[in-house]
Amino acid sequence: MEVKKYQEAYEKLRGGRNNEPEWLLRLREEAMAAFIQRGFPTLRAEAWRYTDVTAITSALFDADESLPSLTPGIIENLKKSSGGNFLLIVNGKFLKSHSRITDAITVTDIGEAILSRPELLEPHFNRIDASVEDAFYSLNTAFFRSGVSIQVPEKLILKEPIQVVFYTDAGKENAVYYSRNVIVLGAGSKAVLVEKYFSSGEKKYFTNSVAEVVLEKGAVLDHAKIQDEGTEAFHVASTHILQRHGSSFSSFLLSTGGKLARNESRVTLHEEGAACSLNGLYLGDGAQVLDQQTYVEHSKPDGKSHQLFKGLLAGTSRGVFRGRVMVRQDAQRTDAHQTNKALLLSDTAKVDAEPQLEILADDVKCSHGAAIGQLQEDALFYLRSRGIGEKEAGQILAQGFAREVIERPELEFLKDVLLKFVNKKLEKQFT
Amino acid sequence: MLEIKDLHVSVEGVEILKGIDLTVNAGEVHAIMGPNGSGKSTLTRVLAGHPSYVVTRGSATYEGKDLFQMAIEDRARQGVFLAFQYPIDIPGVNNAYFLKSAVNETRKARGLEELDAMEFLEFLREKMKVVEMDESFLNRPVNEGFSGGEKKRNEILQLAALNPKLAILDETDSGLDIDALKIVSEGVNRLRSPERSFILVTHYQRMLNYITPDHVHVLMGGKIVLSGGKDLAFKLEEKGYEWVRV
Repeated sequence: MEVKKYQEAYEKLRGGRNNEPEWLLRLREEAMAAFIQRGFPTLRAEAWRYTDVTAITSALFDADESLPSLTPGIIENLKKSSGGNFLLIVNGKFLKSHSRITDAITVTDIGEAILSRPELLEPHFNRIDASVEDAFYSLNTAFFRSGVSIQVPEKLILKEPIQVVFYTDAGKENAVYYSRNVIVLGAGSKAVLVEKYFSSGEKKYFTNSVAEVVLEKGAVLDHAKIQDEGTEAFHVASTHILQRHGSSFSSFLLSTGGKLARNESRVTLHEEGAACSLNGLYLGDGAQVLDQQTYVEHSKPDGKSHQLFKGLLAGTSRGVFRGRVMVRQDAQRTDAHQTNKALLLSDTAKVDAEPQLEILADDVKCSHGAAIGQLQEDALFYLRSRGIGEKEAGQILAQGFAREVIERPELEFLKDVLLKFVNKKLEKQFT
Repeated sequence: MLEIKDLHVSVEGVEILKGIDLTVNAGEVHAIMGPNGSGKSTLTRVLAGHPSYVVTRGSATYEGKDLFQMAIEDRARQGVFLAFQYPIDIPGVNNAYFLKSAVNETRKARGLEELDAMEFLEFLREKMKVVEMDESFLNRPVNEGFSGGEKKRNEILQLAALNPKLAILDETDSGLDIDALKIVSEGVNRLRSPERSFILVTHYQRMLNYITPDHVHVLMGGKIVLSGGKDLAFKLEEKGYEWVRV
């Protein structure tokens, strides 16, 4: 029933796609066929065993073509603390006129790029994920019409960050926004990319976002994502990173909004000497479900991967961290570490942590760890014995817990913004 | 200032304090000595309000109020301070931020204006002189990576900053080398005043070489078995706790 509805919607779109390149049409067909065959994942699927998506599958989300009226006040607000290069995407549409982009990089609406510069995109589409059996990824490939292509030329050291704001003010209930983004950093280039997801209004909607990232030889990308969508929003996103020789990728995820939000990072250290650092903080309350998934594949020697995720969960919220590190036989001298720590602020909050290491090489340094606990009674006592009230003491301790993962040198410019999100969430919790 | 009567305290169902009577008047320094396991730390923690310690009998009256009816933070705001034997590490919480929260919460409760960042730094610099601490301590997480001596100095810094009426020091001398012991003791001496009382809990007499107590009590088996003047401490040092037992 659900699958049929998507199939019908797909058929309707098909007629209008005659001008798309052959390769993309083929990818879309394959993706749709895969989705029809498999349908949505259930709790029986290994990758989805902790997160029930019935609320998404039963809602029958539908495309929304509307654009909200954007007052100067709203635009100003969205631009706030988004210095440097600023890209505005509203209800899935890239609004170039409200954006501010240096001429040194090439930023194109994905729909436009497909028609005018398909050769820039083709090599980067679906390149690593033939094996990923994921319904949401398939649907994204079959349906996407919006998103951006960002190309950073060789050797360019981009001083100002690229900040992409995805703002949603749904024009109807059960709207869905598929966004597909392709980011390519040329050899020896360096950039900082920030994605922010905000929304307005309380309509139920669904963000389905896929980013494909390529780091050519020696490229360096610092990536941050802030997801703070409304309480009725669903958010399922995956970021696929392909790293070539000696490249370096670091990421930070703040997941705090939405009813259900799932973020997956899939990194392939495809050539020698590549390094990645994946970090995240998930802050849940109410009945939120916040799901973090990572997959790092060490394919070649001398790769490094480091992961640190932290969760703060209150109410009846649920957190998931499922991280898998795969070290291929060829990937000697791999250095891979993974840690997940979560703090439960109520008796009814819950975290599922599942670290997995699969090592086929023999000369490696790998570790993983998980710790789930509650606020330490002795630490609370210490703060209260200094005159700090019980609630404030809890807030100070929880904030301290979060800081380890926020205070990263590459994110210095975002630190205050991130701390504000943390404090906003904690204030609700402890007052 | 503080009047403890027939105090019985249990931890996890085991009775540790078995009837303590102690009266501390304003400006007095009381030393409580005793062997390991006699209940010294239990006494300090129950006064500060640690939730694991259950009062099964008796009372403690602080400035005319029932101490055991007061929340942990209210005791602190009204002038009870405990310097911990093992101050806990608090990763991610900046020492200056912690101290500022503590000072301002306390000031608020005492009807004083809160200090802003600049005023606080100035205020704290004065207090840091008391324990000869340098400013690098302020930007580190609370107690994290501090040596034993640094932790104890941080406790005395908090004592100086919070300006309590009743300061309870739980084995502040333990784990200190002689230089640190001197600094900490001199810090305490500078903070002595006719309005402020001290309870010094210690296993050894050596801290009392630097801080002269008005009264010395011996705590054994959960009871105060002997009280006297400062000379009692020397006697204990010389003869050991066994001497009291017989």
